[in-house]
Amino acid sequence: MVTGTHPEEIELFDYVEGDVSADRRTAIETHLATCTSCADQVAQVQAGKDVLRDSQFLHLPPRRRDAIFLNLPEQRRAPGRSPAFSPKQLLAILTPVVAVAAVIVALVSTGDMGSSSGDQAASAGGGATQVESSAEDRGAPTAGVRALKSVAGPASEVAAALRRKGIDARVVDGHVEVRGATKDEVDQALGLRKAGDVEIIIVS
Amino acid sequence: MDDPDGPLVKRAQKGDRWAFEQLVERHQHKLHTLAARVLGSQGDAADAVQEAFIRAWLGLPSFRHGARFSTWLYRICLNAAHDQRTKRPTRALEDTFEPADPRDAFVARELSGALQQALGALDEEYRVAVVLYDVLGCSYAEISELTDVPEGTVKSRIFRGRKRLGDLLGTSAQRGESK
Repeated sequence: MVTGTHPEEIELFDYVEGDVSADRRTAIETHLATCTSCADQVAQVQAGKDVLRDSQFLHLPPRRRDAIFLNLPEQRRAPGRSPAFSPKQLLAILTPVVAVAAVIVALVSTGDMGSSSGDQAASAGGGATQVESSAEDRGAPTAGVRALKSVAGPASEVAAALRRKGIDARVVDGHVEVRGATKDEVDQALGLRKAGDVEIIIVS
Repeated sequence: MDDPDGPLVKRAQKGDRWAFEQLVERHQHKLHTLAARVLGSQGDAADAVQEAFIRAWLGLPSFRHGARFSTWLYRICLNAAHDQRTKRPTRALEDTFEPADPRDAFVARELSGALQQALGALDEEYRVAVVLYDVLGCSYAEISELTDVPEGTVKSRIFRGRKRLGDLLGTSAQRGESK
């Protein structure tokens, strides 16, 4: 005969974890003594717990850890932080903006521009913004990509091999993205590496 | 929130690669265990971990200290593992065996062992819950946060996952009898 109603699943879980009050524990144990269904569940849960707790961590191979360090791209900056431009870069961006603004001011002062001056200024500002967002999105997939070849992996090793030859390469979603290098340079860097399933893509 | 990784995370957020490398050293094996137990493949797991750390590095400037860094990292790892799984079928073990290090051989043995086979028979939500709780030692709150389900559901998933494993592997007494 089963003593009392069956405990809820979560209550049985808490019982296995030792998270029930002494009174409730006694009541559950009384029930378990007469209910083979609940007793079997508790035994299975305890067995599952034991085997999981006995398992060990599975170590990442050292060369895979090294590949992480080798493949770390330039970090993007959070919105609202200091701009990602050096004084030289800022000068390069601002110079044409200032020049365009000067032309607009000159044209407006001679009456040739009329109401379109605002559009020009907005356009110049948009240009500066575009430069900044390009820097922000450096790690994101790019539209101007060209599949080059597929070689034997793993991808991290292919990227590491290219980086050792001074080529900007990193693993993105299982393929290798290359920036600022030509097909010939990539071919030369990889030498006689066999064909495989790791796709190399040149991002222009 | 008191996060033991906090000081290193703050430095890494400013682009300090050394600090990030310390975080990688600290969490690499836990992340690899999570990915390997979820994916069941050594090579896929290593790819997912590598991808996860690179995503974490890129996302660090946006990381807010409302959550533990490790919880955030586990979520990224689970996403990377999911992407890895949907990208291609699980590799055959012979393709992924990397005998250069004895620890690789240990991982290969573990991933072809009875526990992994039983884990592979679980629904993914149960598998993730038991690995996070019983293997990695995450709290209910952490698992709730990174799987987007209430703590009661987390407990239920752990209960059912363990129960199924116990059913598949047998109780310790039963395992003793079979030796």
